Amino acid sequence: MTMHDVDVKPIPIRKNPGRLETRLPLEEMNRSGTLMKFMYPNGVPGYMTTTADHFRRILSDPRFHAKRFLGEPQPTPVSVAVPDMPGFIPSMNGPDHLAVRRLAAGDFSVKHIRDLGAKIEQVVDKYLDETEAMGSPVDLFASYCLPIPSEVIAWILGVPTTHTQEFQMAARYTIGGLPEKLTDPEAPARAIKTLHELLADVITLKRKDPQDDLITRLTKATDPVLSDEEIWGLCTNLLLAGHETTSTNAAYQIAILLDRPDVKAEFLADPDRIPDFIEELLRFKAILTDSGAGIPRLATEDVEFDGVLIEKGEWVMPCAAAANVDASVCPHSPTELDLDRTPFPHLTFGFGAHTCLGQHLARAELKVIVPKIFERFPNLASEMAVDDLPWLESGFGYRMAELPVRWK
Amino acid sequence: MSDVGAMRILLDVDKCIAVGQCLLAAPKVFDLDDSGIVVLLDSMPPESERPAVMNAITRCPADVISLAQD
Ligand code: HEM
Ligand code: SF4
Repeated sequence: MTMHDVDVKPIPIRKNPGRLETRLPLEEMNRSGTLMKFMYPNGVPGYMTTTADHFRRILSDPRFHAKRFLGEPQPTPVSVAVPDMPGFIPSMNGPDHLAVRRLAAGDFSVKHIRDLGAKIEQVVDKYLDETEAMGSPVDLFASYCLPIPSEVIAWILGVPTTHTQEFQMAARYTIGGLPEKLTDPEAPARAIKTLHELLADVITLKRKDPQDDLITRLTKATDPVLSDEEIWGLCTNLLLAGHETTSTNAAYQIAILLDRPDVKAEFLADPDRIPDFIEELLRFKAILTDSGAGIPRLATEDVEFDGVLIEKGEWVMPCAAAANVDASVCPHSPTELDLDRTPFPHLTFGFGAHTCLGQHLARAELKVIVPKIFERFPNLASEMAVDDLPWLESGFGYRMAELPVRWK
Repeated sequence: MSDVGAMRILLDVDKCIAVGQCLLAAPKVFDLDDSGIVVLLDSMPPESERPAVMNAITRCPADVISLAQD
């Protein structure tokens, strides 16, 4: 923080908005049309972008570096404890980033993910059965939304089924997961350590007994060759990036539909359009950046940006939530949820070289997770009034701490 | 005028981050290889593909695709 930052306004995050409302004053941000400098709760200032154009330009500009969770203070609404890991691509830049990212990209490409449909259905069915067996009422977040993405990632990586449960348990306590971790501040660090040990075993196993899976492919990579530590970092990265994000979005989308019977009826009426409806839900609720967290970038030199001087060492926080309601890209009532909207390329998955690697997987999971719960339980209803739901903050945004539902 | 071949596509493949928006936007023009990297199916597509190609250019997050200026 520099001397002239003493006057910087605190970031205006609304703590307990209703389920459909945004945390950030997105319309006001759009109207300003310029970068807005805010002081984050941890005392680090950052420039937030307020339009789609800013968002794309900052994230395409190599003078701004991606650096995440690396000890050094960066603007964040909640602090996240993730150790520095080699092979962790969100903190790499330039050709090194691209080379490592490409080693995993094939497994997440839109073509490869298309072949995964049956596997995803199988995992979703398994957790539908388990949820049903637990009986009504149940916390749908813990029984359904949370375990599915980590099981799918375990499968893509090639974690043997004997280790899957331990992998999923550790996943629950990393950055996100269950409220218990809040009462035990050491839990995330322990979970990362468990993952480290577990994945180290799996990597050794794959070197001895290669299979058709991502970890095996990473052990055979030549350009660049990856050490075991780098493979561990990359796999942990995939889990952290793909597990809580997807489960939170699934829970949120289900909650919105529970809350709005009119929207739910429209959503379920036309199965062919569900992929488009999911896009609109992703546009409407860009949870990661609406929380004020998201996609931090560090200026590596002084940059003059639309009349604002961003000094070397200052942070910019591209905000997808604001970009998605920018009338220049989403002209008709952008702050409204409208399933009939012609889908437009929203920016919830980021932009530039770090654009979400797992976006096609996330879509493939959401388009099964969300409709299937209503197919299995046509009478599904929320147990609590919307505004009474307890909220949980995390490094990946926010969500209801539980989603208690009944179907009887 | 039908103008077949008036559009010539250039790729800066070194920058491709394998997100596949190009394939989704213009499947007759772009494909992906096994590692998810863009490959060109048709470097001089017919004019009828122009809207799809322009859509791919807008959606590509890594500025890989452009049209030759000639
Ligand atoms: C709805 C769910 C998801 C959302 C909203 C989301 C959002 C994002 C965003 C905004 C970024 C860009 C971060 C940056 O530029 O610094 C990102 C990066 C990333 N995401 Fe996702 N993501 C989701 C699901 C997934 C899934 C399922 C996976 C994979 C298993 C995944 C893997 C990654 C990886 C590896 C990166 C880092 C890419 C890089 O730095 O090159 N994500 N995600
Ligand atoms: S959209 Fe761009 S970055 Fe993505 S695969 Fe196509 S060319 Fe590569």
